[in-house]
Amino acid sequence: MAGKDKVSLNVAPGEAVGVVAAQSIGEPGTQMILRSFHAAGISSLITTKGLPRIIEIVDARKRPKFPMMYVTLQSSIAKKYENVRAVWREIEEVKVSSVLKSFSEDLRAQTMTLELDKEKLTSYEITPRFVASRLEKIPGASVSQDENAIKVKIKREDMKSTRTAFVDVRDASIKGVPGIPKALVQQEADGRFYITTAGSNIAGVMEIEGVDKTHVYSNDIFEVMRVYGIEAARNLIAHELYDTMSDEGFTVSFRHPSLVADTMTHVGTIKSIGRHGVAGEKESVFARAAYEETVKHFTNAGVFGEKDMLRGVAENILIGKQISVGTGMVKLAIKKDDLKNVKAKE
Amino acid sequence: MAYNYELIPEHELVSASEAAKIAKKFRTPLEKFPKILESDPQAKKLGASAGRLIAIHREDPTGKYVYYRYVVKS
Repeated sequence: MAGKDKVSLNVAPGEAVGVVAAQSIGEPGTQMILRSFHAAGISSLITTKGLPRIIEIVDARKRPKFPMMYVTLQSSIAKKYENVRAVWREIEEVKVSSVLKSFSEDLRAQTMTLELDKEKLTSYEITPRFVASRLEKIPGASVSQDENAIKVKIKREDMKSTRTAFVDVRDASIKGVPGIPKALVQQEADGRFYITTAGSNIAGVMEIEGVDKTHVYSNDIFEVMRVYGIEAARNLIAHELYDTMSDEGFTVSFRHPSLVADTMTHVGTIKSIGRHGVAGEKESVFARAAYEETVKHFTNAGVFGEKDMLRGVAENILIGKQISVGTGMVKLAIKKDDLKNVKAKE
Repeated sequence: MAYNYELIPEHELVSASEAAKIAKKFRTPLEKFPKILESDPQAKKLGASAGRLIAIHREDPTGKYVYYRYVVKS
């Protein structure tokens, strides 16, 4: 479609592009409810798909429900499974709890005894010594290690903070990238391996050797904004909306999700569509009152003496004036001198 | 699916005189343009301070076009 017929892609001045975009996304959306089903157990990694994903994007959640990443590796190692496996080991986060066989807590003595699972340790290629060295980094902890048994003594003021400290010990990260509880090595059709992860940490993954920094994909829009900037986030919103719809078999013109993305990122950060975002921060009192929480907006406007310039669509419909859309946008005027000619003719 | 890095369009700092021309072309004061924060990674890269205009050279299925963002304090 690109560049094929430029004229047909142009939009006439005054066209209500927002309404067209809303309808073009909304109509297929209604069908998605009926068709979407749960793909439980089909894929090893769960991601949000279909309508729930679209709602998630438009609501601008701080984190997606299932954040995930695709990590591509440098072409020199991408075909060698052993090397890819080595990178994978660096990525997947291993916590103390995942190598534990058993543990016991003594709150009064403020000591915790951990027994590590030998098999799990070898599969992650970790030594008990390494685990102990990591636990020493917890403030106020003194660690003694003997074979697979580790004793941690924690100095805390009271029993409650001792308890939370014990939980922190089990939750402590030993190796890997924080925020990535699970990673999988997968293979592409051409034989190259790549890594998919549950959880997202772009900056953390990029620090690992062997990762192709320009070929990382994350579905966490806010994280993309922090790492790459607002324009990349805007493009991710538009593409995610477009891709989720085409995955379900609906073709939408790219300009519609594109407009949604532009509206959401207009202020330089990501705002949701809806009460707490774009719709709730409109300039016009009437437009806000027409949407949700009518009484609240009117009382606030009364108390603070807000003005309504009646420039938008909703407020003009409300008061029964012509809306400034399409032909309603232009105003006709006549020059004073021309008026004389008209009168003369009569 | 496109990789995140590929989603970053080319950013370009616009000179003050050029910015005034653009504002005139769109008949809109620069303050009403779409915004980009001073702390944005791409704005930092260009060293753009608040009050400048950044031209963004976008390319998507609808074609090639230039989008503008006005730099504001974060």
